[in-house]
Amino acid sequence: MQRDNGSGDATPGSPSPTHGGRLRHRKRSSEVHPDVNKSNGANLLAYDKNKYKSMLVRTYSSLWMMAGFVFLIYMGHLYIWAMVVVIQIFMAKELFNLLRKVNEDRQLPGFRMLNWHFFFTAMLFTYGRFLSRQLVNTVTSDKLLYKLVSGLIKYQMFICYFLYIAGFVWFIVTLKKKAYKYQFSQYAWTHMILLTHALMNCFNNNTDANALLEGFLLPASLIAINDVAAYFFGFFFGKTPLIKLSPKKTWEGFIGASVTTMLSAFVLANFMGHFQWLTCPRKDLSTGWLHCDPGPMFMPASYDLPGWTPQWFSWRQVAIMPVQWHALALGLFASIIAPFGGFFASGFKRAFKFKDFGDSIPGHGGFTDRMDCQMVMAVFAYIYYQSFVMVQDLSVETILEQVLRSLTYEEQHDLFEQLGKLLARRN
Amino acid sequence: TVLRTPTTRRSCCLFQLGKYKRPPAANQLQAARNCPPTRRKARGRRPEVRAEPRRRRAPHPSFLFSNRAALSKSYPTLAARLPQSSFLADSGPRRRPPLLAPQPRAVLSTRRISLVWAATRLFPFPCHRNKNWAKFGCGKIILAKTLARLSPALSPLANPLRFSHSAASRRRPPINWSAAGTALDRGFSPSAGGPSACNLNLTEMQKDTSQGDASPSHLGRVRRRRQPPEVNTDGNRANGQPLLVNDQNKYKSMLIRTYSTVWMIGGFVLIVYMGHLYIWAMVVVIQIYMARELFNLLRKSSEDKQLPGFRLLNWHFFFTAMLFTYGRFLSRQLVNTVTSDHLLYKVVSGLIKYQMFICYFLYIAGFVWFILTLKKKTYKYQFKQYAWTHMILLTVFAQSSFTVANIFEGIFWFLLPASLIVINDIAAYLFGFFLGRTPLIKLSPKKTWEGFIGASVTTIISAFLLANVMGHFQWLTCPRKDLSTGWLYCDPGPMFKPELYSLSEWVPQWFPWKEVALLPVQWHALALGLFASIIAPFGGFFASGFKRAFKIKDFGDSIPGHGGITDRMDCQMVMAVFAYIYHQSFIAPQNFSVQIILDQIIRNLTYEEQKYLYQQLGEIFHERQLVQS
Repeated sequence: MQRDNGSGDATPGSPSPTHGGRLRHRKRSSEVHPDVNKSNGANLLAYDKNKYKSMLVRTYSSLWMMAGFVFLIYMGHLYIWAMVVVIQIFMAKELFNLLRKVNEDRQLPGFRMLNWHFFFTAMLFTYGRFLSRQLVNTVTSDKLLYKLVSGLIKYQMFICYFLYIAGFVWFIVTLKKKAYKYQFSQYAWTHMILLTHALMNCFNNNTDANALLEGFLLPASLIAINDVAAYFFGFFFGKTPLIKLSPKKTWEGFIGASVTTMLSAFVLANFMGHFQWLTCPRKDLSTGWLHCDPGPMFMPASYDLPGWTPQWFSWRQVAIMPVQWHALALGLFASIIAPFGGFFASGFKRAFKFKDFGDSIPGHGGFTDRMDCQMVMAVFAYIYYQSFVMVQDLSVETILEQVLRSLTYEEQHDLFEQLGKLLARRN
Repeated sequence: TVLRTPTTRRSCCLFQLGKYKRPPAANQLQAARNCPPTRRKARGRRPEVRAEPRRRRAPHPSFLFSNRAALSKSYPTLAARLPQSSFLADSGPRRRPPLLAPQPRAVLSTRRISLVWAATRLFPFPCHRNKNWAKFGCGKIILAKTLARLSPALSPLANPLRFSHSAASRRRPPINWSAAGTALDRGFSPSAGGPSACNLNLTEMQKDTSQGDASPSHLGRVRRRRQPPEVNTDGNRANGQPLLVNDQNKYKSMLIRTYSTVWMIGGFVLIVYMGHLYIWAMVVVIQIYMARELFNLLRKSSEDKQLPGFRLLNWHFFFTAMLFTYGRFLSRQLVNTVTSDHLLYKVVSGLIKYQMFICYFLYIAGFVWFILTLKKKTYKYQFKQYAWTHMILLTVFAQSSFTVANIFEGIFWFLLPASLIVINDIAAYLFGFFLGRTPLIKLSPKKTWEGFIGASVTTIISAFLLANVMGHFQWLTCPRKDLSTGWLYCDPGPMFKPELYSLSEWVPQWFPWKEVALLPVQWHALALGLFASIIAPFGGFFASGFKRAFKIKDFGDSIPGHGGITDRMDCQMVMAVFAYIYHQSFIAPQNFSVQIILDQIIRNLTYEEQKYLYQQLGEIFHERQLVQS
């Protein structure tokens, strides 16, 4: 190789002086950079070829993911739900493996299984509740299955608690003298993972309680848009570093991404609001086509454009859905607060000195790396929906429907009497 | 004050410091002169001593009564029956009058001790079968000490100098006991330079102790007793106070513990009497203390100094969590309390409506704050603290929100589980103390199978009985649906309606009761008792394992004698969650959803809408009846 190099057009020491100067200059200008590169393991500028290769891989897998995502959206609620479950399992796997020490684990057979025991207990707990609501709608007849399922649902909380306690006892019984500290920190770590599991679960609560759009698609895509926009703005205009924690992020990227995200949130909400597939809530476990009366959220209201629009502008009115204003709030959050989820993850990685959470997605690292902002956003979307969107349309009709749907005759009568008493007391 | 003859290095030192009443014999002095440098050497020497013929053990010095005449004043028969060797003053010509002028108090304590001594004669406790007995000097002494402790100033055990008749202690000036204690601790710690101090004193002591008798058989005895409980020494070390040596300390701590227990129970009863709101307040206070203890636990002061405001962040998260958990309760209860359309009501209902959002906002603010205050050198520490904060909030608030939910379901559901845990603790202690032999789990070597099983039986029985007693008070059984504190009247649910069971076939003729009235809730109480006795102790194991893993003695020092509040609450946490879930799954589900929907209606609909809903429901029922008929 050296001979080849020597016979080439340039001496090995100086391939092209300007290039070398550039390199050095760039390195000096950002003091923090070498640190990052070291911790990330890949020296971006030096191995140019590597960089593009990794970008290619990354783009490929991004495209695959996007395609899969769109396909799943097309398939419907149940499949999205399944996707979230799969992501959860992968995330849990990555996180469980993260702080595990091999030689301590060898002394503790079955400790790994305990983690999974806790995980599936949590799963049963969260999805049991979800299933209970949906299944009752799906299975309506008085068959044996129905009774079995409803019995399970009724005691679901107890069963989960029982399983948890079993795991707890198991943990205590398998405590070993030499590994106390390791075991306890693993236990705490397991619980922290379950916490993230609960956060992820907000996605499902969203798809469960309301339309795909508000709950799932819009927040997820806003985060993606924000990431991409921040990357590009930072790439082209980035000068001022934003935060010490991740030195690649710049103020320019941050602000540019915010504006882009807000705008696209506003536009995307309008666009998506026209599809009934996205706007109708699903109330059972079926996968068929959805028809519904779009709620007041999706009724376009026309606004007159003020007089200052120029004459040549053909539209005098714009039709804006109320949901778009909510989308603005989501966009604001996605662009300003949600990146902190990413900062948190990168700080965490730095604190425990590893590069990625896993290697499940080629070019991207683990699932957890992609999901850090999504989790923060999912919780926000859920809570936002609960406090500002859902309460308003809790009308007499919905409550009546709820009463007729979920209560037995006796319970309905009971409710009727209690309500009567209340009204009488107020008079 | 272990009043034995010196054998090991440890007891040598004790001896020099005057803790031994009985001066050692010549051969013991010889042994003491070359104080064995380590315990292992002392063990190695054991066969020598054992080779000597064993004599019957002389009565413990604390049981030596001053003279036969004094005893016979109060207990003539006993005095007549006791052997001569039981009396200090009469036992030999060389005995001298008491050190201090005889006081009436001494007679009192003598009487007390003699009673106990007689009792231990009547009930010989099998000390060789139970290491707990061995710990306290083989059976006879424990009761004596316990009783004598009731009047600490009077007892010869607590105040050995005053009652000591040995020549050694008479000639020497009084000893500063606290200084001696610290010296002892220093001397016995494996690293410190104790031995030199030991040897210094020894030469002085030799002069004094040449007269006086002692039984060499003691030597072997003591040593043998020290060795067997291998596990115990471990436990003692972890607990920081070697039980055998610092007896005085032990009884002092027991006294403190008893005092604070009595205070706690008194306060608890008062609070239960005051009502739901006060119990809630108590839970909140306990929570704050627990959180404080736990926050302080894994904190490193050197790292904290570099991070101003990090502590505040913990508390920020804490109060956010508090707002979140209690906001939900408030929302349910307040709506019932404030029914009119006042301004306050509107403000409150607005707050409740957006409560989740506000909490989330606060949390996110804390989250951003955390990320902005991350410092390069302390990343790992900060992330660990963050995780730790979340774990604390999880445990503290999961537990307490369930507890509060239990309280508003009726104090019964709070009081019964809590008292079952207490009963189980006490019963396990007593059973383990008197009968315990087989160690239960390596994690906490003091727990025994006997204590565990005995406590289980006791707990289940008392659960059954307590539920019956508590079930008769409406104050305890009625749920509270608003935030008032007034008296409660309600129709006791079917759970609390007594049912008669006839006993006629089972019970012999002479038994007066032919029927018993049992409440259905008693059967559920059995389940609670089962859980409290079998699973809840694992909460304690968890806590003790945690303490061991992170090498801490107690979680805090909030309650004198007990350690921190967290130490007392470990089992309670597990139990409160169980009680809530049990109640929700097996007892309350009937009108659960009706209540929820009714809450929704009241909270979200205006008066007109409610009326409209009522009318519509009525119409639907009317139609249904028409269809059916």
